[in-house]
Amino acid sequence: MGEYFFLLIFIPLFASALSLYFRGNKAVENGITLIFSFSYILFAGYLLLTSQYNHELVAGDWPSGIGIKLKSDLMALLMITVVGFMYFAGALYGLSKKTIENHRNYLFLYHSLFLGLTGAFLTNDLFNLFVWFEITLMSSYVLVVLGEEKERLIGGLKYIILNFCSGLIFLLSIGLIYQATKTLDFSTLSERLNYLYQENPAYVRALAFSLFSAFAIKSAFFPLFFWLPESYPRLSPGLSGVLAGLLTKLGLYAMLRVFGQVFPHDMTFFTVVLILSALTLLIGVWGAVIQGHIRKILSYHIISQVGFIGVAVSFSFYPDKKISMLAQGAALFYIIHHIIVKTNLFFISGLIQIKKGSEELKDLSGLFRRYPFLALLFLIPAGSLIGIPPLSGFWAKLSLFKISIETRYLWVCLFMILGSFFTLFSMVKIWSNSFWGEVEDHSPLESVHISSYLAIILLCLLTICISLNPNWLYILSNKVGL
Amino acid sequence: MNEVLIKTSFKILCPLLALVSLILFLRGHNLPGGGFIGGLTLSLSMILLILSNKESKLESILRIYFVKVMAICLMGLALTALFPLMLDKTLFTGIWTSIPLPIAGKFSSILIFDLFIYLIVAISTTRAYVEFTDFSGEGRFL
Amino acid sequence: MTYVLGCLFLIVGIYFLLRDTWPSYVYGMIALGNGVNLIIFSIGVVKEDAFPFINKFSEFVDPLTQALVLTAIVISFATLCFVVAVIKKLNQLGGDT
Repeated sequence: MGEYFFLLIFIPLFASALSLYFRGNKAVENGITLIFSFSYILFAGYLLLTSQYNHELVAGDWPSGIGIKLKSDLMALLMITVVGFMYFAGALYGLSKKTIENHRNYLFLYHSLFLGLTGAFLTNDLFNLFVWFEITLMSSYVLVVLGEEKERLIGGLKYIILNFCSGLIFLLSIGLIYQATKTLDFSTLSERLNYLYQENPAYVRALAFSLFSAFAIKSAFFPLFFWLPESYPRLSPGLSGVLAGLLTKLGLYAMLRVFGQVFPHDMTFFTVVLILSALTLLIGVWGAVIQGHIRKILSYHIISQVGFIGVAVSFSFYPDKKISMLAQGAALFYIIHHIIVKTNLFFISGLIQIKKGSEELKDLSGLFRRYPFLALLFLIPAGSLIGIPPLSGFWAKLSLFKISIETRYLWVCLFMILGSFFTLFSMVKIWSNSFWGEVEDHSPLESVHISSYLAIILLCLLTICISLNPNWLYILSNKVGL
Repeated sequence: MNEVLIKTSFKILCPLLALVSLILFLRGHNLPGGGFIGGLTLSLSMILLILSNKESKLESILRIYFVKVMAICLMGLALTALFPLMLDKTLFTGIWTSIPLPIAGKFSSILIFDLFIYLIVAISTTRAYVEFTDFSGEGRFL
Repeated sequence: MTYVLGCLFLIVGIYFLLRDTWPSYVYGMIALGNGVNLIIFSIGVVKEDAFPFINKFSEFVDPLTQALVLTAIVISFATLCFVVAVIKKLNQLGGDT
């Protein structure tokens, strides 16, 4: 069964074609979405649990090195399983009409987003990584501007043009890498770059920096993050949750893949990326502290969390082999934890918006009295994002601290403690302003379809599973570097 | 477009361009050409038809059937890619038959794959053109 | 020569993107996309009378860069179309700049 892993790409492809064909027929579309996304998780989970990975496929029977190569290694399958859960949860959350864009093309684009993501995880070639990236981004472009408000269109236009530029930088650096090595396949590229690195380290370093700048825009690193809080809070709750959880993490995954496993590990490059991610994690969270709108705070939290993951990713190309392997596992663990938690937080804040009609902290008060269950559901991902001990964020941060203490980068520890502290501060701000306090207006709350709660409960359960048994995921993600 | 000369020349150009696009599409596997380029040329021919002939039903047909055709083409692309699995071959393998075809040489599964690309490119480009030149604000796709 | 032309396109594209009006975004995107394509095209050896595939009549050049350029053209063309559509919609909604 393991050699049929490429069917993972075809599941969202068929789903998108079918939902395009049955466009406008809501019942059929929703049925297709649920069935296909559920079979996606089942298949990915089956491959992961029976450990049928490390299969390769060269499309079209070409000799290896010429054809398009797909590979299902452990890292890709782990990510795909997590993405599959988001796929299903997003579909479940979007069953009610209020939670997603009420637009007939929505589900088609939703499926093609996941088509691109799956391809990007499975590909084993730099250029195909670019193509799958563009498929993902193209669907996100359209999703971001689905709407009539002018503000949203302008924010979307900025998003599109910036990501178009980052795509061009990506393409240009692919061209330069091809000029240097005459290959784009990951395994061959790694050999030739290592060879080139011994002759001329500055050349390889320049290539790495140009590729890094493309990924940095896509994953909202420090100087280039401003597009993110511009575009995400204006989307519908269901959509913003999925995009916030997955898109920036795709850039980080690509960094982990390309720089951790393909490029030679270089000290200068490592230091620069480490400093940038430390700055990202602090500046992002400062942005969160001054905001007064729940999803804007959460958007700035994405940036600071990208910084945390960036620290782990940058340690994955630390010159020491043992540390780099540990860091790859830690980065993967952090990415998985973060995707689940962040999507969940966006979903919950979306419910608050639907119920109260506003997300400004000054309009909200006393939600705990009126809705204790929702508050409890909010507490799990929020605590996990901060890193309160038994929850999954704690385990993710613990391994990061361990690595940075082992390598004597104590200032990074200081940055991370400060970042966590400010995260706690802004979370407490949300909590005390919206959940605590007296009930001010007694206007009836809008009711929400039960499926939205099911999606949130599913994600909370996932977080609790990781929190209670981090060992399983930790051991699995540590096998990645081997 | 009221100019008689332009209209008449467009009427001659339309079938010629369609023919050229067909040739480009058929020779695509071994010579410059292929689904994408052929599709663009075909869309050029369709745009000229819409420009020169106000009464042509092409525009309204495009508006109605665009989505269904795209969905069927996407499905067809996926199925053509998966088809070699039934013959115990790898994904995307070209399957050649011995049926002769004028310009393409022999009939193959690659040609079917190209056909879907040809249709998608031609139809979506024409649709985009129709959308961009329509300033009435009706029938929005977005 | 192709390389220099590509770099020139890049400069023009960045100039247009920095001007803050909607049409200039489109010009900038066109110029940047074509500049990058030209640079990649020049990375593979450009020769007269040489095709990017193996044949009996002449020598051949590296096909991969041309495949890259073809894919990149398709992608940037689609993005450009979409940006034009968004700008058109913004104009319909009314507004300045």
